[in-house]
Amino acid sequence: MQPLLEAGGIQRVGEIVIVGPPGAAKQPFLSALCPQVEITNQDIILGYLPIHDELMLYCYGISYGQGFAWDLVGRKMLGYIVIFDWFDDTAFAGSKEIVEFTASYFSAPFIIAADLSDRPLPIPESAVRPPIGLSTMSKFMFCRSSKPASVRKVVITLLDMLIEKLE
Amino acid sequence: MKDSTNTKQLVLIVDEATAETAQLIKVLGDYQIKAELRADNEEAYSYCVQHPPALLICEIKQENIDGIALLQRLREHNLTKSLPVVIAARVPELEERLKILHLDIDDFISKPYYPEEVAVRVDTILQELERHMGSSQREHGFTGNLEDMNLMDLIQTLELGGKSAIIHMMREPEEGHVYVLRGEVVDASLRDLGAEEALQNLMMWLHGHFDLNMLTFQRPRQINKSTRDLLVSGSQRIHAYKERANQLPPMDSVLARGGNEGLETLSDLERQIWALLSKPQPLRILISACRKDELRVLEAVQELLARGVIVSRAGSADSPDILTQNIMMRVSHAKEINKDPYSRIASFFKRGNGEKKKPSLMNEIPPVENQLTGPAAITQKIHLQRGDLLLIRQRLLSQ
Repeated sequence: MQPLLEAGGIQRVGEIVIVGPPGAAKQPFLSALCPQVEITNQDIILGYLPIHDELMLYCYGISYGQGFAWDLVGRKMLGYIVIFDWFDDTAFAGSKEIVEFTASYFSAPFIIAADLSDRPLPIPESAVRPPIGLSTMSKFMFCRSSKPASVRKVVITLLDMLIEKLE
Repeated sequence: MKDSTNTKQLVLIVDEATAETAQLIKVLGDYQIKAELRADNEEAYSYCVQHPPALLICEIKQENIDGIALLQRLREHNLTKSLPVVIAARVPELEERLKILHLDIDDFISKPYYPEEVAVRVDTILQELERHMGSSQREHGFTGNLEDMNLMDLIQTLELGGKSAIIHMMREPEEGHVYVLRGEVVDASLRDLGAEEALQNLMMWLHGHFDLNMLTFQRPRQINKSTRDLLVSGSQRIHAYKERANQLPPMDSVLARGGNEGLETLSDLERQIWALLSKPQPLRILISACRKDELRVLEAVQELLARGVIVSRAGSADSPDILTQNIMMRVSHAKEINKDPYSRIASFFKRGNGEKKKPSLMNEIPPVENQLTGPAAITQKIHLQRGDLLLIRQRLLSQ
């Protein structure tokens, strides 16, 4: 692992989690977001997003069934994104199960991101672009994991929810 | 009540002898789990390879303990490469915790711990091992079509992640199972075939459905080839199967008896095919009914077609059998879920209704407040201020 920041230099780190059912585009999502992405032996993907010398955002891509990974990051994450392939029935069912679990155990804000990848929707994109508020803690939105701008928009929406929570 | 003398329920703790470990051994005893302590790498390794415990609880770094080195050695030994391991360590720093993510372990517990919590986790893992000994009960997994992801793809995925799973494969009118333990294929079953032949045949199933259950199980190893070797030979067989199938009528086409000439010269397999075609039936069903290696069956069918002993007819066979109907019903149900995109979104609103489900792997995690102003002991480094969040936001907006 090659640290982007020198040991001792970093002061503040935020952690967010990107979780999804098997096959969810966690890696493309993180690659579109972070300049450096690593995959551990446990299939946990870690993306580093340095903001400046003393501030870093860690983005974990983990699977629902990785119990110990949740133990490591679940307690400290600022928020999380549940991503699933909108066109995959099994993935949709899997994402619901994830939301059931995460919403039961963690009170962090979260986004449910329906990944369209690069496939078209049968309805105008403008109709689905704005995030849909499910509650004060969760929003539903479409995204394209292959497009950095779309991925950033999801994370910015999550940040907005966090900022709003502080106000 | 578990049998505490059963070595399968013996847990080895590799840690220093402290009040904390003594308490843990006592609490594990309350759960009828016998625990022994070793405070030295060499002693622990010798113990494990001589009497593999049901589970290992290991510290990462103590005076005579190097948990990572021990884990690496255990994973290299045949008897202990699948040994469930729980790391229990004091690793407050993010960088250290990240290192643990790279280890091949089953669970991680931060110290200081509550012995009761550790005992519950250990008990859960042991119970899962017992429950899944030959069982196909679902824990976590997914289902799909073999057209999208065939057995080779599934095995490769499990191998890369070092995962354990039982893959249930369904192809009209048959079912088969493949058992993968920590990324290694250890057994397979299909018809009356031996394990390796069953696997080779299942690898050639390019249509149908699968149901993959991620779980750890105990099962005697029947396949000794490495997963890599199996994948290489599997891909060669798929290539041969596809080439052969391309020279035959579609799998759904109905085959029937042709002329009677040359029947006396048929091989045993060809004679079996002839006998099975006393009533016309689809090629797909015929292949299954032969209960033999599918590549050989295809070769025999091709030969019989070429000689005119059997012929291909247009049209479909009889109505689907119960298994086929069952599969069709499942597929139809899966499609139903996705009919209306708005009902999908609405279904998220409905979460929270009814009893919340606790996945077994997560039982032990207590509900946590992930607030930005959460407990300093846990969130010292994650204590971002509003300004930090705005900076991150600005950074993303400016990209």
